[in-house]
Amino acid sequence: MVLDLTMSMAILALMGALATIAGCLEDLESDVGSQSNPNSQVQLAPQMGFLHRIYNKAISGEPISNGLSAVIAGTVTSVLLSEKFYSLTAIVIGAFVGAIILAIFATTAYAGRVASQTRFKQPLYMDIMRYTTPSIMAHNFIMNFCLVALAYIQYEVLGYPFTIPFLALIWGISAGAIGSSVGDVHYGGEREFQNREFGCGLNTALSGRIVRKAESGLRNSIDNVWFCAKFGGPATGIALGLTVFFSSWPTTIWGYTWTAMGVGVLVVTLLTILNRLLEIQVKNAYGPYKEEKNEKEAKA
Amino acid sequence: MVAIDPNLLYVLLIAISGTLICAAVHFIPVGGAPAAMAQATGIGTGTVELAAGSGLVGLITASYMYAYEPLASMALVMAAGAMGSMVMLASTMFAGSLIYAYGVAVPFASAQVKKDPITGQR
Repeated sequence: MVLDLTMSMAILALMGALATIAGCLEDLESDVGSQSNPNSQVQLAPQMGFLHRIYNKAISGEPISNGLSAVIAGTVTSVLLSEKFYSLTAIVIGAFVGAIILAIFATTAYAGRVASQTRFKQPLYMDIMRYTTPSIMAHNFIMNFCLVALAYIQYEVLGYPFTIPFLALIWGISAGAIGSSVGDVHYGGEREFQNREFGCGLNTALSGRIVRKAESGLRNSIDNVWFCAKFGGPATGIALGLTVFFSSWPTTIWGYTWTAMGVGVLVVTLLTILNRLLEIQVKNAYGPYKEEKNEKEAKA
Repeated sequence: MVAIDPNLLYVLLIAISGTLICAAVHFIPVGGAPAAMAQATGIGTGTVELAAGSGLVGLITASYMYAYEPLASMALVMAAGAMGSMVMLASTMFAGSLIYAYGVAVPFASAQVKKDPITGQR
């Protein structure tokens, strides 16, 4: 469907906003369930003698499990749409079904993982499972809703040549990839090792020695998501929002021409320059690279 | 010149593009799970995940170009796909750098090489 410029820009802005919310919630869902890369530390902690009350679901890599729930949501939505459901109702029901399936995977993954750690005396806390699983579902529901709505817009309004489930799968995998490489760093690099000096990185010797005490009482996954919602989640949202916006913006304005491709390259160059400026600022702020002792000895 | 069966040509082209993909993923500095804890240098995720994510965004932009501009040449469709993937990787890298810089306070340095080949800094 060909829209006029104002309408296409409005739709593009809506898509960007949906993607931003989806990206943010995707990362927070992985933090509240402690999935993806930082999970290695949560998994390792009992083996180092650090028993904890953190939810430990690692269904699979983040993009895969995220794509799974998104594609289920998209499939249910497209089935309901073919039954002449009102589109918003169809998307909501689809997102809910996707969230339920993810919750089933989450509980089995949590119980299975903890069961495999019996010899390290890691208990399976039923209260954690009872009140963290709905939180996982809630985050995943919003993410599914946003991604399927995005897929619906692309399929019904813009007329993309793919179906809703496939578009939802693609955006689910992309959101997972971004959440895995952006937001998880905040959870794994900072929140799990918050008792260490800020900026010290993680020494290999500290592997598995995660923080187990919270601001009040013992730390659980809800405390983690509260912290990550301040920076890790929004940054992931910005990355996915920028991806969706800037991958369509040049063709929306300049049409399907080489000029649009040039503008796309320009956007990438701009982001690279911003990256470099950030690097210079960080290096100035934190000082030069310090050579380690054994490195100096090796030189001499 | 010997006429090549079109199907054989397609298979060859797919094989070439597969080889190119395998070569290209080596240019992305992926660090895996240790990088997500700022233990190792690189992007804190798996190569598969990042390659799938960026490749699929490229697939979306390329398919839209292919479906909506019948006159578009093959090169333009491929450029659209490349542009989508590039935008995805660039925005991910930028947001990731923001986290490393302000969330974890880890400067971008590598212990593996003496100098950055492009900037010349440590």
